[in-house]
Amino acid sequence: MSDIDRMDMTRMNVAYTGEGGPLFNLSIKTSLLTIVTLGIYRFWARTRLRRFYWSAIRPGGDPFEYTGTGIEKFLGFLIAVAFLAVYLGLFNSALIFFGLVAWPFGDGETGFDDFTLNLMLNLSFLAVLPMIFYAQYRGRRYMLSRTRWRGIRFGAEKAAWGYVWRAVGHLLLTIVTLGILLPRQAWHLEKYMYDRTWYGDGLFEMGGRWQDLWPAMKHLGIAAAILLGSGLLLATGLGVGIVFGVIGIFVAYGWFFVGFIHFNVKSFEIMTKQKRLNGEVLFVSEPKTGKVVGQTLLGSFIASTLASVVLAVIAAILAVFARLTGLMDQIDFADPESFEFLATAAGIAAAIAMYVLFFALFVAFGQVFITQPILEHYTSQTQVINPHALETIQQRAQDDFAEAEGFADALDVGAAI
Amino acid sequence: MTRPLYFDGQTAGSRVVNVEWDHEALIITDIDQQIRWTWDEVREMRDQADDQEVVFNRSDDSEARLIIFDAEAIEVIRSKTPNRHRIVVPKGTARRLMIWTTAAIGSVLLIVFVIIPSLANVLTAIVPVEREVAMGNASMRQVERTLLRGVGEGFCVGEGGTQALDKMAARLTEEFDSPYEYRIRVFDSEVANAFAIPGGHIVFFDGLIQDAESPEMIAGVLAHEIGHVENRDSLRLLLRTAGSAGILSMLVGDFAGGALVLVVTEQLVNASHSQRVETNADIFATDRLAEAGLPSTPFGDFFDVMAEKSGIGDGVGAELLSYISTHPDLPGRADDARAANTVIGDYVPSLNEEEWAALRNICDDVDVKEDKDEDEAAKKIE
Repeated sequence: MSDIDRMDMTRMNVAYTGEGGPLFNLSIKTSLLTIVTLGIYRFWARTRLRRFYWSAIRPGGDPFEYTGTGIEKFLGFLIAVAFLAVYLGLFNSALIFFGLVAWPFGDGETGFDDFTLNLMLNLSFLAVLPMIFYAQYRGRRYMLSRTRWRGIRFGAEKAAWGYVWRAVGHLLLTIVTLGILLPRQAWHLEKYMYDRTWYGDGLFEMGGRWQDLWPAMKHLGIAAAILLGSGLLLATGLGVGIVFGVIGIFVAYGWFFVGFIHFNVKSFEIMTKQKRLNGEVLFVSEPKTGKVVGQTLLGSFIASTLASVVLAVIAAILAVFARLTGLMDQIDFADPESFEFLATAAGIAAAIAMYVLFFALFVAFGQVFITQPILEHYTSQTQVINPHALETIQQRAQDDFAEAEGFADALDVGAAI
Repeated sequence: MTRPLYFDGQTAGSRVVNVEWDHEALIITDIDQQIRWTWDEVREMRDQADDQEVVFNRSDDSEARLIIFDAEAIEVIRSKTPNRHRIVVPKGTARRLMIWTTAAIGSVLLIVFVIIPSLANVLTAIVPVEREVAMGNASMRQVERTLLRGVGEGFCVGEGGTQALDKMAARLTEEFDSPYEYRIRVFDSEVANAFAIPGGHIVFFDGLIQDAESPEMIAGVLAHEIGHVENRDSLRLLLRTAGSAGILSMLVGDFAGGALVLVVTEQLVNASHSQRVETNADIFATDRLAEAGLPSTPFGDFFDVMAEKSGIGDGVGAELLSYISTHPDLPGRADDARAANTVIGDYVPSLNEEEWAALRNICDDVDVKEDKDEDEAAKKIE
């Protein structure tokens, strides 16, 4: 901490100090409050979880800090809703009308028919798409402006619309090239954001070139090859070919799942190395795909199992309680109509309560067994090179903006945590 | 013992400091300076991951931070700072909250209940018929492919049956100039239902025809479905739902139970609209029956047959159902249809004995293969 080695190119580790117990308590408490308030508390819940996570990540032992507030997030959400309701209503209506009068419907001969019809019915997605990218950039800017490390603010420049048209363009290019230019999209968008990201008065920059991301595509490429091979096997029409073709499609499906995670993990590693702060502070991060995939699968299994077990125990306790207190005797079994109505109402209420409780438990256990371990893995694999150059970084002005990350909250495209 | 760390909020360097206090303030001593934080302005960071240390800051915007690791010192500082968790909300927040809550709710209500419905009405009226027919044809094929047994599959072609339906439709539409060419078919299923698709597709399920006791019952249903086509109800509904896509889901977010709230809300929004649409189609039907010189009493009686079959009676359940159902209650529709009757005494039936028999037997030529799944799927269709 204080006795940082003054030599050049020293490395500073990033510690992670969050533990399961406190995180579970915080998560279940805020989830239940969210349910009780019919969702309104979710802005405060998200804020409190961020405070926890931020404070657990400690480059050189000093914790990050999240200074956002629930009230500003809620206010931002209201502003976004007021605007988006009008925007979406008008654009959706215009797009569907355009579809009705000008869309080329199929001739009924092929599956193209259904495809064009469904595409027309979902044209309204075009209205949301630019707003999603806008929300993502603004949400990130908000989060950075509410993040501190050693009391110094992070920040991002006001450049959301530049991000929107670039993101839409890159996305179209990636779709047209069947995903082959995914690394180009990922790299350019990351660079756009980082070249406009600040820590105090220090500016981040990203070097390198997008082709550096090709290695991250390895497993997606293998998955595509398996899919193609399976398709060819199926096309032969031979019994053996069909058997292997079907097996191949399942394998390809699983491989795509791993391939996407690998792309995220590996491109994070590659692009982290390309970043610099103030031209002199470098970063390195080497998370492992195997660990992330394993933790996702294992964590999901543990979280759903634990949530089910807890729910079953609660249900059993309630049943015993109902029996002991003679609650069951209150129902007049002789009057079928009252009994039927009561049973139906109680049944529906119990089912809703159980569903909601399961969801809350699953979310809380998910934080403990999926989100936190993966975050901890990323953190522990990260180092800051030449950290003493950070000490001369000066404070930057506060970036106040009214709508916070309201657009991201309204469109539900916020960050994972 | 780790000594306290101080960040001055100006540079990113950390300093090891001494912390003392008197009865008025916390005193932070650095090599070259002494900083006093009075007790009422000391704040503590909440929801921190590490409980071995506490981060304190000052209530102003200076961003200075003090991290204390010593448990005893933390204890003392906490005992002297009753305000440490106080959140100072920026001035005017309550007013802004009120303004924007009103704006958000007002904007959603205005859009969902006023602007989109009126826009849908206006736009529905100006879609050209040939475009509507093209869209309807594509939709019909999709319904056949995904909900029925495949394009052109499972429809009954028993001798004289289709002609009987066409004759009925001709009589019902005789008095007005329809821009649509009707294609009326019977689908081989025991489900009692019928539906219309934009552009003139009308499909009866055989179960409905078997439940009818006279051709006039079917004529009423046919007139009702023609009403949906002529009023462009499906088209209007499409414009309404597509127009409000994503607006309601925006409000609930991803919290537990959000999906549930959404389903119920959408059902409530749609129910009153589609009940009105059904009532209008009923009125259209009784008007056409009257024009064609046919009684609407059998049409009304048919609703009673349906009600008896579905087992929906009166009572609390039925009352609740009326708020969420897309269709008005059957007994009410039955009474309205009977009240609209204009034909008393003799009339020329819409089908003669022979034609009626042909319609009743329209599905007899087909091998009746009972398939529960398909019948389930068919039930989901309007």
